Amino acid sequence: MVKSRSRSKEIMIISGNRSNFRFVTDLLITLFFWVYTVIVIIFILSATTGFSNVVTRTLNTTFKTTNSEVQAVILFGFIVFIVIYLLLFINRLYNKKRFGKLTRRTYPEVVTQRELIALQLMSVKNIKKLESNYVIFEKNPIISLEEEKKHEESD
Amino acid sequence: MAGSIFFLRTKENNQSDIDIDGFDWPMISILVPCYNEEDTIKETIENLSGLSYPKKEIILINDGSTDLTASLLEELSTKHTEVRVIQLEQNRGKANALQVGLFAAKAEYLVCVDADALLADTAPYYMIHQFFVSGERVGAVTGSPSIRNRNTLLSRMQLVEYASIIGAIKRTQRLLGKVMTVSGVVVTFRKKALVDVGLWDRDMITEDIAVSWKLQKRFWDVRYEPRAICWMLVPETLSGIWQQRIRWAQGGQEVVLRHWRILFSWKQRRLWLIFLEQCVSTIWALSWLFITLVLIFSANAFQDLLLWLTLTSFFLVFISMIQLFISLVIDSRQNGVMKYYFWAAWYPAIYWMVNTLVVVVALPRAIKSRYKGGYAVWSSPDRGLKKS
Repeated sequence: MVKSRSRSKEIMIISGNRSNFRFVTDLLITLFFWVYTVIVIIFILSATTGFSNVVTRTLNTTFKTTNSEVQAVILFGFIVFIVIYLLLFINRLYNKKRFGKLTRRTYPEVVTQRELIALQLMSVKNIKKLESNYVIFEKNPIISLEEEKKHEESD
Repeated sequence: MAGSIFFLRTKENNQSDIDIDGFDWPMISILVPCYNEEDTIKETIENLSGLSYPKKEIILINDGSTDLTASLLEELSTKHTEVRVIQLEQNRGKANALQVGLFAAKAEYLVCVDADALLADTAPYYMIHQFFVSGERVGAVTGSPSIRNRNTLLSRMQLVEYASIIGAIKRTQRLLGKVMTVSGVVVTFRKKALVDVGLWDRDMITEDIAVSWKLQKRFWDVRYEPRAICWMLVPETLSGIWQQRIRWAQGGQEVVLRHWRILFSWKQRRLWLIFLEQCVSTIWALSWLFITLVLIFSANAFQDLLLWLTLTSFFLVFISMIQLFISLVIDSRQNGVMKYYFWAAWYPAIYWMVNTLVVVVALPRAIKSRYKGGYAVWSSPDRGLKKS
């Protein structure tokens, strides 16, 4: 049985001061873009459903298109959506069937000090130094990129 | 669209909530790399210290800050018992700071959080739990960033965009089994996996993208946990956004240039689609710019210049608005962002073009960085508005 801790309603959102002028400007320009967007939506939906109106007639004339061409594009988009959805569904079925029941690995062991040293990125002395709660390094404790490259090449 | 709906139906809807009180939670080390964070670090540490997660240590790594961060960290280390501080006097970048943090960490699970981010109380539970649900191959679990500053047009546009990018794309990529990147702002790593791949790359501009690829190339899983909310700040100036996006685009391109050999390995086939998506995005951006320039210079009339008023752009806007709507509906289940859909109208009209230019500008930088090498150091990002 699962139970959850009720989520605390943290109010993290910052409200800053914004001038009325900026707010109105933002609003007006956004509304302008919405007018454009609404025209787009009306045109495509009307053309797709075969419902001719001033918008579809004007835009079809401008673009030299017909409603049936718009319908064809929308149908193509819908088919692409369905195909992708089906491909994802098949991919999921395949993965479930092929790998679903397999536990191919055991959980990895935790990292040991030896493994950290084996990385050759930091000296043992500096690793020890990092065990304290407050530490200052005047020089970067990690080896330089040039040295790291040399190690990689020698490995 | 198809991916995020499918993810919602098959994975998110089937998830039961976790039993926080009935689970033996392992110790975690929270790594916070800091570079010139005097404005935000105190609030971040108070947030992290106040988390209810039972066993934790907080490791602050000051990466050669030039402001008051060092003294603030010293003060915080005396105030909070679970806080440990590492002062690096040389600035060597975030990846280097994280590497130092890993060596200092006592826990096997490393929660990496940006110094300007606040974690929701339940976030560590959700991320750590993933390592224990058929999680033997899980190397990293990335959380879901949610934007704190929502007061300006730019931040609201980014809010809509984050729901689309982080939400929809990550959900779809997870269905394919691989993701392009963890979110650097909040991610939990298994230390074993990091050690296995040789830790973060210090010469890549975006260490989060680079380490995601290294882990997945070594067949460690990277999971996405939308319930692990992390509150973050986003830039509120055009130059801030521009610089951030250039860095992201450059990071993606650097990964493509470094890992192209995966295309010749059948074992890496699950990464191919993610790799090709990155390549196609770059090619699309270059093509868009090329065609636009050709049309501008060959236009005979003003009407020809109104390139965006074409049937193709109409369809793109239509699909984009549907995609943003679906993404926001899905993301709203966690953080209630649906009301910001009003600001989505900017996205297809302007934002795409900016992002396209970003990709074009970042490309030569990525190529140069690939050949030049050296430390990828950071500059102080624009953190938007301060609390009023």
